[in-house]
Amino acid sequence: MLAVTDAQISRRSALTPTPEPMDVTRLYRVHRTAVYRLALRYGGGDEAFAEDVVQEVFLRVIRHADTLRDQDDLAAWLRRVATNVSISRLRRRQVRQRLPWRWMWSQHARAPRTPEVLADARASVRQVMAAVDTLPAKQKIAFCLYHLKGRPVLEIGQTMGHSKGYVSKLISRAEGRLRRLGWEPDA
Amino acid sequence: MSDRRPMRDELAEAERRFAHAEPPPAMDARVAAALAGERRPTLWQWAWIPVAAAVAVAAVLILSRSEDPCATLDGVAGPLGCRIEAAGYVAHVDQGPDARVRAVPEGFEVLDGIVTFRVEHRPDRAPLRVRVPGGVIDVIGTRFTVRTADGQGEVALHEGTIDFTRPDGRRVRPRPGESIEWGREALPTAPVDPPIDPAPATELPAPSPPSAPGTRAPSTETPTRVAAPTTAKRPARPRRRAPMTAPAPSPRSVSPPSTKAPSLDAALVDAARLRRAGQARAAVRVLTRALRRAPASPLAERASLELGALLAQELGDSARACAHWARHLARYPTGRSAPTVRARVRACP
Repeated sequence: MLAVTDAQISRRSALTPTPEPMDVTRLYRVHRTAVYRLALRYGGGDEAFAEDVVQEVFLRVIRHADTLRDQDDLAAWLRRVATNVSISRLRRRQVRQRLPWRWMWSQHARAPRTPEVLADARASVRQVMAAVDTLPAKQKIAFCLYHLKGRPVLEIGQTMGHSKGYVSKLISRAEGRLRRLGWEPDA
Repeated sequence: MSDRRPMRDELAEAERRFAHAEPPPAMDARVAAALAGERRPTLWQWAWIPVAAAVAVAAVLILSRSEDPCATLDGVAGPLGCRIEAAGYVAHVDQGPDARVRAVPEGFEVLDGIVTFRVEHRPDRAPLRVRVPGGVIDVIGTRFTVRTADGQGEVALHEGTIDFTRPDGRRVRPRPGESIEWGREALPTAPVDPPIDPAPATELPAPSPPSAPGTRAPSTETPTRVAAPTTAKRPARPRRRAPMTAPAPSPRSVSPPSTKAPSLDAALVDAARLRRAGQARAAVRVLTRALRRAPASPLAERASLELGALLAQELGDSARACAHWARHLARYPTGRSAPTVRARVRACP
């Protein structure tokens, strides 16, 4: 019998709190630093990139406020959104840097800019991050989460929305690419 | 030992910097401004969907129009092909699947492929002119087919009168059933599955004498008038020609089709011969029977196309032709002839 009595309904209503309107300002205060630092890793220390990602992530929070009631899962949701936004932006940036587009839009190649966060770091650190910056977007994200942030492959897969095997493949490809550039990620 | 530089220390130092980086105060102001300007989703945000749908529909219409072979000639599709008014004439232009025809001020120019013209006689006007790679055809009022590829080709006159002018100025007036070639001897042929038996050629009657004084024997170098070549001239060469290039005997001398079911290729040759001889009904029977026996042959689509053209143009039976085009399209929806046939189906009542 699937019938639900009035008493059951009233008991459920008492147990389930009425969803309150989401306080985006408070959410921003709580999560902005984590999102900013995550985006900073993805952008190789580029502050402008990280700021753009933070802004877009919290704009999405507003757009999806109706469906974001589960506060426990919000940090993971923000990580996923930040990762997806970063992948999109990295891809756009890589496309813009390709020669045919620059030729079509009469844009000259810009000299590589030193990320602000790494401005006073050792030259070798900047060289390493410049090499990481040449990776394709997804490989770069997987590599940064694994080698920089030290996250397990399974968690990276949950963040990126991919299987563990695919994430391992992305990391392996990124490492191979860096090795061809003369760096040894595992050493 | 590897000569690669280790990057672990550098990555650790970068991570220390990233992990302790603080968002700049300017970011808060920027994000606050962006969040304040962000509106909740409204119906207007989905306005792009009908716009995109309209664009998609327009694209489909444009693509389907470009698929219509009549569109390039500014004509209207009909059972006899594209009905086009050009140079004061009403012409019905029936284009083959890969034909390329363009309108020019005095008439048409056939660039490539197989094209059949049907033009009503207009004694009060200068002849309609059809340019082909091997010369110029002045159309007095007639029905004829041009077949050309790679600078070679022929014009086959089915009925009426045309004047064919070669590049050197010589003019030839073929009789109905005759064809004039230009370019080299070998004409493009359709792929054939079985080796073609030269038997149909032996069925043909002896060549009729040249229809006009001064007509020369076939040559591979100059435009050539072909009345009805004998099989003795090319005894060892199997006939691999498409139906249109088959010799054109006079109507009186056409032998009836063999009672034995012919191969599809032989049926196409037979049908072309019968068509030229004015025995369209017999040609329809030959093709229908051959198609029934070999529906999966690589030549079946072509034979079906030929059958439809016979029904529409020779018999003038629009109802049967339309029914045939519909069956053809259902059987060969992605075939080479599909755009042409689709245009004809659309023109059907």
